[in-house]
Amino acid sequence: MTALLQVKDLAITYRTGGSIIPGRSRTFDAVKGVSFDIAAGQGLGLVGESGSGKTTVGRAILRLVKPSRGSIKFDGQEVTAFGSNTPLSFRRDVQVVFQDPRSSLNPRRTIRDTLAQVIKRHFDTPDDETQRRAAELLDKVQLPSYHLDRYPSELSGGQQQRVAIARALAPQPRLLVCDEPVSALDVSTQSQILNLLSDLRRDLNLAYLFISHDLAVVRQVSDFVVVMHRGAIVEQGPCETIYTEPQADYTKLLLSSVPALDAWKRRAGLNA
Amino acid sequence: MTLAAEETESVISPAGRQLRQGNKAPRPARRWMTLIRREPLAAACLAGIALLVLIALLAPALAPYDPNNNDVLNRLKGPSATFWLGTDELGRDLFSRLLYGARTAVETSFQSVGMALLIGVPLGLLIGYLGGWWDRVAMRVTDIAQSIPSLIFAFAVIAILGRGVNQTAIAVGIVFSIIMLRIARGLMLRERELLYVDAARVGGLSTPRILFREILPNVAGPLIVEAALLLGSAIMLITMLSFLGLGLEASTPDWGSMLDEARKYQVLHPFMALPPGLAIMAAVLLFNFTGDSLRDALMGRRRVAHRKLRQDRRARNAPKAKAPVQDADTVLTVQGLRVSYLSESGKPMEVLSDISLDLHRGETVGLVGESGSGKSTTGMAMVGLLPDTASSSGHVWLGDTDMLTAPAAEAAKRRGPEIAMVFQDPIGSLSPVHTVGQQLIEPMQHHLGLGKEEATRRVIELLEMVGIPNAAQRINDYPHQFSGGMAQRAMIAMALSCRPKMLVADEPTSALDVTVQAQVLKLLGRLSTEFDMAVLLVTHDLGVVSEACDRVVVMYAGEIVEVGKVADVLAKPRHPYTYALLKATPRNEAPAGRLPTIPGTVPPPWDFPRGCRFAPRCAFVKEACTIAPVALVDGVRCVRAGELSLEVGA
Repeated sequence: MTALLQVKDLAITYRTGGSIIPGRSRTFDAVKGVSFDIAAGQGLGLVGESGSGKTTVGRAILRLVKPSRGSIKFDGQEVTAFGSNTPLSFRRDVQVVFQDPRSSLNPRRTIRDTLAQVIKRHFDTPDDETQRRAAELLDKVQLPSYHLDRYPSELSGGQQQRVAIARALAPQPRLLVCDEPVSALDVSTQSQILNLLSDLRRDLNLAYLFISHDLAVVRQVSDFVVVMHRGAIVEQGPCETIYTEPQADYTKLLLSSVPALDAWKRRAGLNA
Repeated sequence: MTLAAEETESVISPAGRQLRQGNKAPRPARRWMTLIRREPLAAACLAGIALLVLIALLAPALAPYDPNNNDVLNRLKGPSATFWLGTDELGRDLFSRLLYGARTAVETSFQSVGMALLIGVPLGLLIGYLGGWWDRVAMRVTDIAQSIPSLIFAFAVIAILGRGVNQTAIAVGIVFSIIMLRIARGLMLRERELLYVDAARVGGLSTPRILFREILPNVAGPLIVEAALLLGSAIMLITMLSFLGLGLEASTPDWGSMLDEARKYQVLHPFMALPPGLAIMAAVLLFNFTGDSLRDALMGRRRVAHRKLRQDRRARNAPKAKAPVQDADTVLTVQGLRVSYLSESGKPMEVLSDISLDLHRGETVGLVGESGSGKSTTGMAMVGLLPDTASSSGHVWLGDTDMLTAPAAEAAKRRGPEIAMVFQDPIGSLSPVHTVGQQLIEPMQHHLGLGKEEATRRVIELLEMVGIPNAAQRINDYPHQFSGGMAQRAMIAMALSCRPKMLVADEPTSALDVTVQAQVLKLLGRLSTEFDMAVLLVTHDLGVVSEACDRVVVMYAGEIVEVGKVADVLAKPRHPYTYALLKATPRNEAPAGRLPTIPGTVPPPWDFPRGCRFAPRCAFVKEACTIAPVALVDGVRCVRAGELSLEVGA
């Protein structure tokens, strides 16, 4: 089976301290030679701390930053060769859910507008069909349709994130890039959203690139895990293998640093 | 103090949300009424502008004479019944000229600002959006253009285009376009970072659509304000030009040239300068006020939110409370703390209800809850830093001092030597323009009365104690040169500099990476033992509580719902909320079907249920739960505490 997404030797260099004179600006290697595949319907967890380059990888796949080297193939098509205009078909296939739903939704647009303009752009549907689809999308993310005429500021964080997911689903994508989709949410809402994402994946055969710093969360939604540190992959493998038999020292350190709910038991043992 | 302000914002933001909810799509007439009531100055300014435009439009009808009608017999007359404001050297009626001058002023200023909006705004947005080389080249060009004084620039343009109303408007319009371009570009640079712009790109929207349909409405506010201010500047610039005899043709009645004529006769007829002078001043002031009040109205500086809820009279007249007898171990006692804010609709909303709690030496207490639970407000109350807009009752006893009611100066004296605080964002809590050393050394000199060398030595010692390598060199670094973890260590060092008895740490590790979080938690644990101090660890993460705390206080919707030893509460929670929260917290375990969730969300403070506040989301709710508020009994606030057995699985 060929992979839906193939990332090969991806490198991204940022210029820091811009200068007009070419060759005078300093550079920073955010991502250094990263390779991984995602199969159709697969959930891939991309784990790392701040500065690991995990978000930059996601942005490169979404064509929001330009890679300096390497290849990204989606469905056999070379994404880096698209030039300045991204084909609409690619925008349809690959969608995104960002971390902060508050800033990822346009505050001046109602939920209806936000959804309708994406539907219209991709399917050029007549108005009544657009409306029907918008309501259907809200239903898919388990929000009552009276939210359609609300503004993002009138919704809670969890509801906003549901709208962001609905918007991502609007073009009927095959790959969903989720960049820390639950980090800004409270614990009780977090698990609601994670369950929703799992359901959608099952129902729509979506593939996920799930970017997160939270190892416990990644474990719940991934089949395969890639661990990044300072721009490079330190380890990748099937999810449970990484969690139960980590090979790299850094992965071990990460896993041992996660605050454990039953840490009190260990501490009680120490104190006794 | 900036942090305190941030806290306030996060506390009152639900109110803001409610306000926007309440005002959803009001009818135009209602909208105007609300504007007049809320922003009387803005309404007055808009009325003033309407009047000015009306005068300009109706000048031919209103003016008693032709403004260019020479009448040499009546030259240089003072005000009279025939000539209300007198006449000039050619005997032209000054009142008529003043009205027609308004026409010229409005025409030229609106034209030039309109041109700036049409040219400067789209160009600025586009340049800011494209960035990179486009931006750099365009900015250098505008730099050069702006290095030429605008008056000279306008001279040059008029020299090329010739004199006249339109030509002058174009000259000023070019100058203003550059100003607008810069502003629009600056706004775009900020807006471009927001995720909704990325989302629009990923959504496949075209660039013009993203620029004008997505981004422009979000930056329109500041642009409108700037346009209003530029209208004022336009009148200044244009009258200046014609005062100097440039710009407009001599036949065009205009305030600037009227002033120029008055200048020639200032000894004989000083009154002549008054009407045009006052007109210019009034128009410019009108536009400036409009700009300022629009800024207030559009950019959410809401005065209502600053109104303080009047203190409960009973509380004010109550005899001065005496500190409770505390045992030697107790550092801080919170008694019946209540905190309310005035919501923007004017209703009081209680964000903290009946909080009572003791903190002892050497113990770390976790204060855990979701957003909106009131945990941060509790922390702020403890250090006596509740925002001015809060009103409170109850007590926070730190020794003999009630931090809640003590005068600000008195409370400030306690902060440092007795109680200290660490915040979530360490780099944001430090001033970016001073070195870390300066920020640590000076307070120490101030608080402990140490000499500079002695204070420096102590700071280096403290930084070494919190595990900052090369402390002696690193004190010369600026905050941005510190990593998040190192900056938080420095903040902890700063907090501990006066050896306080208690430390309030508000989400101290939430902004840090997990590996760094583990280290900082370990450090806090070590220091609490070493300094024998009480630590209140405010957090949303039960894992952190389990790792670092001895006792835990669970908060929900402004109330304490459960208190107890960490081992007891986490092994066998007695409140259904604690239980549900424990179950919902993702564990580092292999997935086992669907994650347990808590249905619904935390209610906002104006919508707390009457009975148990968790009842609408509780899996164990029964009728008794919803009837009356539930008291905290024996460390748990639940009607069914006795009958429920909430074991958390292995």
